[in-house]
Amino acid sequence: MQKQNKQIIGHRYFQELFNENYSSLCRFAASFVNDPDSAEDIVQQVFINLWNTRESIDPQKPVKSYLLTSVKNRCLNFIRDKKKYRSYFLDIEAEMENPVSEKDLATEKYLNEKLKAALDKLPEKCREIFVLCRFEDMKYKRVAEKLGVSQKTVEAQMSKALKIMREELKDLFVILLLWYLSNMN
Amino acid sequence: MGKEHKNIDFEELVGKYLAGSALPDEVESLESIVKSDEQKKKKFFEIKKSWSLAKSSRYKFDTKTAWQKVEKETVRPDEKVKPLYPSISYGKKLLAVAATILLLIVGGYLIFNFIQYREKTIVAELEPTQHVLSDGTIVSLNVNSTLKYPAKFKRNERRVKLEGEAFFEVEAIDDKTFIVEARGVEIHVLGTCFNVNACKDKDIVEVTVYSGKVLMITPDGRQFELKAGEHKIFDKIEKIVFEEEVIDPNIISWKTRLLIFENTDLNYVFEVICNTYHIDIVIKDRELEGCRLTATFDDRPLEDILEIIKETFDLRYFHSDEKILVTGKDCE
Repeated sequence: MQKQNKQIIGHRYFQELFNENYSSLCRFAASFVNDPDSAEDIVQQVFINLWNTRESIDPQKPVKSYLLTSVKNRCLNFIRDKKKYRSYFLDIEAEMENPVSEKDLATEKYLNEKLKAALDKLPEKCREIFVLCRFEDMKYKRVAEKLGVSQKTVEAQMSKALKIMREELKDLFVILLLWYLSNMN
Repeated sequence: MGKEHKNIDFEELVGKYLAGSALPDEVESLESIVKSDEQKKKKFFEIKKSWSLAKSSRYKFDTKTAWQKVEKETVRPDEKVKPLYPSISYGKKLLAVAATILLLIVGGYLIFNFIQYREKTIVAELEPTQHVLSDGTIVSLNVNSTLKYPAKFKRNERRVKLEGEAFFEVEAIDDKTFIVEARGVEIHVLGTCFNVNACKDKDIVEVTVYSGKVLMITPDGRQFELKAGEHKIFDKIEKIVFEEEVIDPNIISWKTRLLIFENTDLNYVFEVICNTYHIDIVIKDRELEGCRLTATFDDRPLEDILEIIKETFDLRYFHSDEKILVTGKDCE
């Protein structure tokens, strides 16, 4: 049995697994930890761990779901650890549940289209503020200074932006995980 | 705890938290709201998801570099003991010496080539400049334009790269085509005079031939032969090539300072003047746009030209910042 397992995850197969799934797993991790560098660290650790424990892994289960679960757990641990230093994460984020069901599929193109459409739905001022906060990682104070508006305005516009974004992307959340799965062939 | 925050907008609080702009007590109150209210909890996760999603398409993960790291940690034990420098036979040593000599020769040749053909750049910032390239070709460069060319041209072609606008007077050399690369469009020439306008802020590349013949090649490989007096415009967005019915006589006025207007609307007159004398002129009164001017200015100072136009249409000029504002009445 063990011997067979070794055959299943040889180094070449391991490399293939890595190449095929690395970036979609990173994207998945980044949706939890909100920071691409930490996401990459986590995914690399998961792969190294997979290699080190390859002999004790249940061969009946698909490796992909093993990877996905490991990444998710490590992300939640990461959040929990960060939380100890009383920082950017709420308690509640470390116990995030996610629904996995196999009924819908989404492609990366579809995802990007949806995102673009959602961003386009934002009124101009609103989008400007959202883009600065999200893509430029600016704090409210700097956004307010840059645009010459009050912080209150930034707060109100962001609230509006988040309402619209959530509404527009709602139906994506369910299929999102499936997208990661479907990308991991 | 939750009560005092009931009236504050939930999304506002979440937004502050996600953008890292929430104060410690705001984080705490968000925490307590989310903990005590299932609805809000669900909403929070959905907002957070859309927040991370919005950016996820911008992340780029480099699988190759990451694999190098992971590979180091996961090599098989039998691979680790492989000697780094296995012993080599005499024959192999000889081969190594030969390879080294060959490497030196090739390397020397490459360095020589690099120095000989290294790229030079000329930039015209404030006013048009003129340069003579090593093959005798004269290039006039409009302002805000950059030309890149090799110190020495290759044996079979003379290739330059243009961003902006330039007028070329190409010296004919047999079997050594002169090629201008202008934002994706290639123009092949044997010996001729032509103007290329490929400015960064425009979505078009415009080629106008004054003498001789050129071959214009679009990024997708379509070829157009242009003779003297012909021009073509490539639209980078629509990916189409078209031409205007009448070639504007002012295309190279940036170089010649010869302005020719024939029943030209004032809007365009000022545009040509702006492009030639590099100032900003803005028409304030919309009615003025219907005024039409017929006049020729041959290398006249800007002040004279503005004065003549002013007298013709009874205009007034105002200076504001770096701009000249134009006001006046409708032309009847």
